[in-house]
Amino acid sequence: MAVIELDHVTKTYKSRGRRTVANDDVSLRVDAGEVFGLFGHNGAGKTTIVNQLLGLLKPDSGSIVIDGKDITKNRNLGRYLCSVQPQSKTPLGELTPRAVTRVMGQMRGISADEVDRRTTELFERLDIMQWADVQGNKLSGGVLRLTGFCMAAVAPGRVVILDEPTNDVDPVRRRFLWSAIRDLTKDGTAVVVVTHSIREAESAVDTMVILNEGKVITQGDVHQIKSETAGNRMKLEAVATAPEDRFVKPAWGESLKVADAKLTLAFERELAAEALKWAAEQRDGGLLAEYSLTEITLEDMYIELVGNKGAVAGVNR
Amino acid sequence: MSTGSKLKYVIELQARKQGSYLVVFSIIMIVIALGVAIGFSYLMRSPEGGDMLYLATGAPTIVLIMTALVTVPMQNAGAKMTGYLDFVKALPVGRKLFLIADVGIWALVTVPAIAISVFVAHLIFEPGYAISWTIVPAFVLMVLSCFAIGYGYSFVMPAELAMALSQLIAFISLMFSPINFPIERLPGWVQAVHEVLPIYHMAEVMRASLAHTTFEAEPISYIMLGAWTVVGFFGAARFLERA
Repeated sequence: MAVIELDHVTKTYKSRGRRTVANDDVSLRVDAGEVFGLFGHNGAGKTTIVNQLLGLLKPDSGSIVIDGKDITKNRNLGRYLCSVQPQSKTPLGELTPRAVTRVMGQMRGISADEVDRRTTELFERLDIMQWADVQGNKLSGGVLRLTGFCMAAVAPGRVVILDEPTNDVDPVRRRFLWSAIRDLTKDGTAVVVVTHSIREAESAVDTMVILNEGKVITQGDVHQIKSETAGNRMKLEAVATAPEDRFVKPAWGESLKVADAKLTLAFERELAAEALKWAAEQRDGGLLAEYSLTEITLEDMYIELVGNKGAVAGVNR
Repeated sequence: MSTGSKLKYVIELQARKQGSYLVVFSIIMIVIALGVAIGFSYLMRSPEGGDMLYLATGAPTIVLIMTALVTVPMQNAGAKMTGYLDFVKALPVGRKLFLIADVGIWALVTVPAIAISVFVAHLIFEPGYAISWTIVPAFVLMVLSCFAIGYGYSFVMPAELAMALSQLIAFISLMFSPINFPIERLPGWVQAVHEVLPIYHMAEVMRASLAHTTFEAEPISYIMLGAWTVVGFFGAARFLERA
């Protein structure tokens, strides 16, 4: 069942006579109980989508339906239906993680006992109990980010929106966080994750959309998109110890790139043995250092799809 | 959930966020109020009853202006730049509750400064206070108009501009406003400007409530404050509700 449906949403910013199309005819759908990845370069229009869901911005055209309610008609509903992780720079002042999580939970109408239970559960889960009663202005970026997650997750409702939830968070707690995110979906909550960390989101998201310059360039089930785009390919990654012109692409290789002392060679899966042999030869020839064969990742596909030219000047709203 | 309990949570959020800063600020305001009542008296060779009463009844107005038109706008401009206002706007409560909660908290911060400065000035100078019952509605009207303007301009204007304006207001209200001296001492055109701006009318209403046997405020002062209240809150509410 769809919890979020955007239908042909367009949003334009006008500033000093210049028009910037932040969302260009965006249609997407997020189902109940799934983790949805919202990917794109800076300025691709991700934050604009989030702000329209929350009713902080109004689309120029198109409709946005959350949990069956048209929030383009009643913009104020958005923030009641979605609980959002605040932006990382949002100051908490002297509020402690425990205090602010409690207030957020109670504001969403859950009882004091339930709030305490959920808060303890989340803090233990993310291993941040030692900072539970430390003032926000004394906390590190990572703990603030995790606190922000708890603020959104304490009373999740139908939709939880997370903006770069893992930035500044240490690798161990990142894993705790991804598993806590998965837990949220158990009772049908849809989780929208906005992130640049596609590599780590890959195993955590079910469906996704990639935005580029305000437009949807691909969306759907992550595994399906991967198998369609990556097909039956793999890649060889190696540390290149020689400049690019010393390498000759083998006939069976699809593409060979050398950049920043890193060699990447894509090829069909059944040629893995050939690839390993080739790599060993190159190493013996002094052209490569350590090497490995890996799957094509979602991030590789993302870069392939969006390309480097997708990097436009960031407009943050 | 009732609006009352939502308001309670917004107050809790705002009060606990600022925490000890609110206490520090109310102490600073006490110092400023005493500074105006006592410190400014040194400017005069021999403060006579009338002049002293001007200072003693002007100090509470200065406290309100410094809080609502200088400090709070600075805070709001900062809140705008750090994205805190966007956070507030995305909370699952009516956005006007934020305005109500914040005005309530900051209005309370001014009370000790006003009460203590009046009390201390009375002990030292006995300037001739005669506190009327109208102090309560007058205080409410001044609080509303002052904060309405403070929130209004700091929300509507770009943050950097609002910060600059707040500093200008601090300077002008201390030096060039008929709060601590009679308006007749100012050049005619400045008087005319003050007839339209709210500062003079605030001072008039405050004086009439604190020393009603000596001063009287014209009805126009109450009307002007009412009008500024409406304009200010309209601007602030529009900013909060705007998409």
